[in-house]
Amino acid sequence: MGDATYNCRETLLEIERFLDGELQTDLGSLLQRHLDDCPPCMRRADFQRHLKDLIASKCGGDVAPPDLLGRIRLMIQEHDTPTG
Amino acid sequence: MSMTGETATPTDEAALRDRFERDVMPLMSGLYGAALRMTRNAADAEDLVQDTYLRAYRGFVGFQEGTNLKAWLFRILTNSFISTYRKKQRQPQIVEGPEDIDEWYLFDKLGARNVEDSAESEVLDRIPDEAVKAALESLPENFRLPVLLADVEGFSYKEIADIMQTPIGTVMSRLHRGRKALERALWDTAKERGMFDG
Repeated sequence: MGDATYNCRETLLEIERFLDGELQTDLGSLLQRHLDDCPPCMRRADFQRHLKDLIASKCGGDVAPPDLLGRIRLMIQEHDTPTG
Repeated sequence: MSMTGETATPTDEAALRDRFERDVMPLMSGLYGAALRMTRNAADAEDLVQDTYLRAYRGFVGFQEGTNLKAWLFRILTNSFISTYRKKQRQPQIVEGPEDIDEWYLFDKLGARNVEDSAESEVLDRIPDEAVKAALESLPENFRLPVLLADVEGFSYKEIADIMQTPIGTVMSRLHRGRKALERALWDTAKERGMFDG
């Protein structure tokens, strides 16, 4: 357990889960240690992380039109008692 | 959504409305943005959000305060989208998805253009927002939703599995393939725009 390591192949295989924060903490630390020691893997990881951030920043941030907000508020005010 | 029918008294109802106003209304822009990526047009996105809010309000009595409100709303949004707008859009439902795409598609493509060290990311930054949105919206729905939920909305695999009512393994494989398809769409966009000429 203590001397377990990630090689390049395993690192790249798990990189997506790692960047999604879905690797267990101890495995994540091991993978991070490989990245710290391996510039080619680090470069790929950075690229993939950048891509993920880019999608988040460019595909989000839309603002609901004010009249939609108004219409929904009215709909709820006029809605009968919600009974589940 | 709980189906246990309890009749709300006028006071309960006022409290419920207040709580809905306080907790649910501020999330509208996030839902609207996701609805835009799902329906790909503003009119349908507005209808979808309105429908989602109506369903959410009706089910709000059964929503347990302190549990994951955003995930609950996104499940309603996704269900509404699938049950209503998918049919309406008459889009052929692609089940098998994009064919196999190389593991490091975009990285390799950019690298093959002899782009200098660590400059791959800078090429990406120059792609306009609208083109990135269009690339995401070009993905078949089964692959677009997981990418949207994971990368734009920040949901975990488990939450996406709940929202889409799909096994977690299916979420992971669709997310992976969706991302690869998105890489290819981004590459095509960048190439069409002549982003490597200058």
